[in-house]
Amino acid sequence: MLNDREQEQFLRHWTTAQPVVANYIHSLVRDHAAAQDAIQETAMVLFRRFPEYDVTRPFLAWALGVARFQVLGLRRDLVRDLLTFDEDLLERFTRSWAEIAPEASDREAALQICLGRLGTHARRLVRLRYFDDLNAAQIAGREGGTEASVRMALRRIRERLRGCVERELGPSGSDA
Amino acid sequence: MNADDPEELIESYLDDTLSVAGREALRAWLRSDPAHLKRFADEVLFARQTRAAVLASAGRSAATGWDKAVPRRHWLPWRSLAAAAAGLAVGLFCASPRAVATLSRLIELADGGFEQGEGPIPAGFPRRISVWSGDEAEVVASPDAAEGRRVLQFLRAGPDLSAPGGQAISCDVFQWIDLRPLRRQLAEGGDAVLQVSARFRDAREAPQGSVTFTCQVFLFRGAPEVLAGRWPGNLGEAVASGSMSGDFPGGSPRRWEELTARCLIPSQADFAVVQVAARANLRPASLEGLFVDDVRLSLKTQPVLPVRVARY
Repeated sequence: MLNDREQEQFLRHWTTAQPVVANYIHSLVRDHAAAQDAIQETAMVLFRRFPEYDVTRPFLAWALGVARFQVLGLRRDLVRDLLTFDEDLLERFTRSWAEIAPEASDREAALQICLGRLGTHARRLVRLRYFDDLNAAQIAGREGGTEASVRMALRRIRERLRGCVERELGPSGSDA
Repeated sequence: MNADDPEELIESYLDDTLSVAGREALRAWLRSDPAHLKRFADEVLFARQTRAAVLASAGRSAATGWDKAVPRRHWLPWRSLAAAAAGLAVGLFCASPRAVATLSRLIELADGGFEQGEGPIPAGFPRRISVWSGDEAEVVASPDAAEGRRVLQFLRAGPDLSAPGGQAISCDVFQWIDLRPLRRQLAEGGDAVLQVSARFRDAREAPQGSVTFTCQVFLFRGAPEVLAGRWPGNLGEAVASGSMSGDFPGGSPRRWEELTARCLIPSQADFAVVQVAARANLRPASLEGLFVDDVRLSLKTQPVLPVRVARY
């Protein structure tokens, strides 16, 4: 069991790392309930093993390493296709995530602003894709058009959103 | 689909339609350059963030798991009463692919359904166990209660007690719970998780500026009457905590949504503070038609087992 000081340290580290770890697990696990379980399990393992944590290394990298093993332990059909690659690739993906995710943490607030600037049709496609969780084929079936045209439309929307977010997060921001 | 186009491969990965050939092509592309892997991770993250932003905009936070694909637990009143009467309920976490026999026990929370009388709750952070108090809120009768006939309505945000006269950000309501009677059970070993859940309702008829509901639990050593005097400056002294929040835009006035926060219980924890809160995200802050009901606290313990049984 951790002493008082260790528990306080753990709490501080985990509070910061938790959103990044949660996004990482959700990006790899398609089943929502399984992802939530993996996040809880990761927290428990980190808590139990906190005395082994090397304070000279970033906590986030350690936490993501533990999360990676939790994901690897899940049933294959609950996990996205990346895991059918190999462990080396997953390890490198995890390292990339540890690099980019903390820097990108402020994008979500900007995204809410940028979503409001999309046109009616684009907003509808985004809603079908991300709110209703439909894939391109399902959206095409509902809205008309082809799967390829929906993919292209979603890609362009993503590019527009990226551009908007970059402007929002730029040195002075912009309403463009 | 063009298996040579990384954009299409990424799009297929994101909507779970990657073919066997596409998987091979994506793997080859990722292996060909470290920058590709970084770009892929960034695209995946951006999609996650977009989804979260869409759900937040629509009033359903990704963080809370308010997803139509997620089965929701609707506890009926008789079920909670029966569980409380029994004192102990044995359950199996079927949502988990690694199911482990789990003991679940409801912990007494004073008036978690806000059924014992009407009117304003006491003001200020509570100094003793088993009473609700906090910022301006009142128990009101409601035909649409999540459970029973009354609910707690958040009325006005209050400043932090450590900074009287400071900015009022959220309306916070608290209750202390004595965990010491649980020590014998905790001493038996295994993981012990404290789980607090509450059901929230945003009764504003039309979509407007979002509000955030929060359900939290903090565990402390020491006595409430002492700890209360230093709140919230002593949050860093909490030996454990758990939190869950969700954003609502209005426009679904009859819907109750449940938030659940969990935290591991260290053996030295004496008391828990349960907190439910509402925060308006536009300024000036205006709280209207925001309710909480059916606050529950439970202890879940997993016995130490040499083997965990996987269910496939």
